[in-house]
Amino acid sequence: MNKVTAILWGFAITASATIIATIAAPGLNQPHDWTMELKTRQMPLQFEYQGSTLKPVVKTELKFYHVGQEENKTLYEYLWYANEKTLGLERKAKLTIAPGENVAIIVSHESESPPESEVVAAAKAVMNAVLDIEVNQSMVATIKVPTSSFNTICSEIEQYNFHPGSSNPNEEVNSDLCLFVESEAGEKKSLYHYN
Amino acid sequence: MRTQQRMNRTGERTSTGNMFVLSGVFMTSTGVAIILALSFAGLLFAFNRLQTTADELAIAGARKLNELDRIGQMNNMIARSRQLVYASRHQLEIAQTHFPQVVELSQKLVDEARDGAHELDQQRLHLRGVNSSEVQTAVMEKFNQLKERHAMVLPWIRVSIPENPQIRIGYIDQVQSNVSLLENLDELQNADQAPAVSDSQSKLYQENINPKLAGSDGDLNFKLSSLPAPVENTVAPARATLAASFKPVPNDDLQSAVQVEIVLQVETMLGAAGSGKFHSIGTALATGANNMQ
Repeated sequence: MNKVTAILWGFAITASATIIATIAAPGLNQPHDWTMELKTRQMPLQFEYQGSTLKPVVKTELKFYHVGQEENKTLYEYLWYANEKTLGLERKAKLTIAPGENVAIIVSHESESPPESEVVAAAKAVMNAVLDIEVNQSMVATIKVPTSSFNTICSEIEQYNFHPGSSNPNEEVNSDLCLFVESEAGEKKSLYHYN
Repeated sequence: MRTQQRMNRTGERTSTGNMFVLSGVFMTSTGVAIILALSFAGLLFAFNRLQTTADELAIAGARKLNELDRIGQMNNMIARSRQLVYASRHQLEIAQTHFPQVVELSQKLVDEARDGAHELDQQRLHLRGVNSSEVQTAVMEKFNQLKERHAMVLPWIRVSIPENPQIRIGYIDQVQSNVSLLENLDELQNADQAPAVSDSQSKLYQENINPKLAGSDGDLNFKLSSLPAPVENTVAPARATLAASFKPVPNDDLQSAVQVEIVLQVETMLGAAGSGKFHSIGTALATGANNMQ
């Protein structure tokens, strides 16, 4: 009985370690060289005229910095959205991330309870950032979003032909681009494959 | 010294004289001169007041044009939409050559950028209509407040209420757009430094231009209108300006100036009756743009 118990305990510990490693493998704890901060805010008093369809306006600000150098953030660009349409871009600097390096994208909102339009804008801005990083020959290590925005952002990501990954680690995935999305506290996670 | 005295035919001195007549003539002449002077002053007063009214009407209309900085915001966002379309198309071209796995994603972002540009252009046209309507309303409301003050009836002069004003909406010559030259997209920035697109000294995009993109996005409009740019953080107030500098906007660009022409009927009843019309033109430039938020 003691032998059996010992074997069972050994198996349980090993399995647990494997599961934890699998879940934790892609994530903010993964090594990443750069952080890209993406912050959204509502812009009141924009396009205030009769019959305007360009409000409310959401402005997103993207900054990037090398891990460990938070004091040297570079303002990358601004993006504007209204009614789920992308309106404009103002590029403020070039993306000086070396090819091959990993980037973590961290999304935040200025208000604690952002409206859906603001969260959708954040998701669209994430897609722009993902493409810029990929074309720069860098990789997106993880995308960290506020817990309250997690579901909406994931839903929007799926509109861009990203599909939720299978929980079966043995299933073969034929995709050149994977995105790992997690909530800020880490309690929600999703893996997406691009097809 | 002998005083010359009037003598009658019999050589007797007369007690009659012509001072009364002279006084009468003098006083009559003086009275007429005073009345003429008052008439002239009245006409001058009426004309000056008419010009003041024309200026007030033009400023009332001009204030409506860029209310809450809607033209300034539209100009700025159109320029940024152009950057977005350009950058998205550039990324697609790179993806097609080097990163085929993200071509579809890139194409979708180009499509979104183009949709945004279409929406902005449609809203720009809508705003143009809103501007025209609100300017007409504002000018007529102000006119109805002010028109009664012109009427004047005197025995020798009559000034009527002005006729309804003619309202024209356009822009002021040589006032550039409020948009500062955008940077960090090298090819686009280089192209934008052409004199037809931007001013090398002020670093502002020119007024009433449509700097289309080359290639597949050449069908999109990015029309930038004339509007005074902010100077540091100071916004230019709506103000009266020279009538000669007013021009109608070309095509369907947004308007940033108002010109009002009003006509006043004047009649004089002094001597031969006569009448005529005073014309006054007031021109005003809209409130300038704010800094991009």
